[in-house]
Amino acid sequence: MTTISSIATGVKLPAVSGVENLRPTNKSGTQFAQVITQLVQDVNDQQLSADQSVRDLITGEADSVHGVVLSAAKADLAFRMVLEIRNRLVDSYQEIMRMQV
Amino acid sequence: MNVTVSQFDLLNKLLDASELRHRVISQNVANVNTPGYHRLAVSFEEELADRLRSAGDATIDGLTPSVYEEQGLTVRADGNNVDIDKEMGQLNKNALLYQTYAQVLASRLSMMRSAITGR
Amino acid sequence: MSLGKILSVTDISASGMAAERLRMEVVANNIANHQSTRTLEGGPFRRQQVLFSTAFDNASGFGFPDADQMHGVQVLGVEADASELPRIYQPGHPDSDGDGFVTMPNVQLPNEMVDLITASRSYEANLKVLRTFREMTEQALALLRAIA
Repeated sequence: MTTISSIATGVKLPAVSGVENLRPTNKSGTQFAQVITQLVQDVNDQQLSADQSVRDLITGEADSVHGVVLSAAKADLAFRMVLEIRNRLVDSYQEIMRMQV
Repeated sequence: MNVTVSQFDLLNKLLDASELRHRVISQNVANVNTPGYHRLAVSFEEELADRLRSAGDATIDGLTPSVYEEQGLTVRADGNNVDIDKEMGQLNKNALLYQTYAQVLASRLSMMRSAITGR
Repeated sequence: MSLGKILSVTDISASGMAAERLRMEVVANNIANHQSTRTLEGGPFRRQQVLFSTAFDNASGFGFPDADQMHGVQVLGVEADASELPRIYQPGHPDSDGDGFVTMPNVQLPNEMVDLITASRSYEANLKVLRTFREMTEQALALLRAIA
C-alpha cells in the first residue's frame, strides 16, 4: 500500500508563461456600440411597423384584428428584449463601480 | 435582431386563412336562399402541407389562401348548392381552428416574454 | 368607414339577416292577404316574392371574388307572383262574376309556412355566423393579454 504523500511527490504543475501578454480579442470584429445601435434600430423599426398597423386600423385599411395584435406583440417583445439587455448592462456597470480597489 | 417566436409567421398565415374562410362561410350563409348561387370554399392547408412535406418550413413566403367554387355538390331546384348544416359545421370547425392557432400563439408569446424578463 | 375591412364580415351577415327579415315580412303580408279579393290596383291580391342576388363587386367580371369583394346578399326587389289565380264557386260573394265564380289570391298557405320556417332558420344561421366572428375576434384580442 502506497501512502498519499508518495503519490504527491511525482506531480509537477506545467509552467504557465506569457500570461502578462494575453489580451481579450474580438474575433467577429463588430464593435459593441454597433451591436447596441443595431438592436435599437431594429426595435425602432418594429415600433414604426406597429404604429403603421394601428394607423391602418384607425383608417379602416387593416385586414384583420390578429394582424394588428401580432404586430403590436412583435414590437412589444423586441422592446422588452432591449430593455432587459439595457437593465443588465446598467446593473453590471454599477457592480463594477462598487468594486473595492 | 429578431425577437419573434418560432413559427410566428406560419401561425399568422394560418390565422389569415381562417379569417378568410370565415368570411367565405358568411357569404355562403347569407346567400343560402339566392337562386343560382354556388358555394365558395378556401384552399390553403393542403398546399401548405405539400410545401412543408417537400421543403421544410422555409418556403411559406408567397403562399396565400385562395377562394374557389366547390364542384360536385348536390344542387337544389333553384340552382343553389349551399347546404346550411354543412356550413354551420364548417363554421364551428373553422372557429375552433382559429382559437387553436390563437392559443398556440398566445402561449408562445408568453413563453418568450418569460424568457426575456426571467420572471 | 373606420374599421371598414375588419368589420366587413359583419356586413355580410347583416345583409343576410336583413334579406331574411324582409322575406319574413313579405310572407307575413302574403298570409295576411291570402283571402283579399280587392286591392288598390284592382283585382285580387297577388302573392309577393323577394328576389335575391349575390352581391359581388367583381370589377374584372370573371374569376372568384377576393376577400373584400364579398358583400353578402342583395335584395333586387319584391315582385308579384304571376301564376294563375284560382277561381272558386261562391255565388253570394260580392266579388263574384256573372257565373258565380270568385277569383282568389294565388297565396298557398303551406308554401308560405315553409318559406316562413326557412327564412327563420336562415336568419338564425346568419346570427350564429355573426356571433362566431365576435368570439374569434375576442380570441385575437386575448393575444394582447399574453404579452402584457
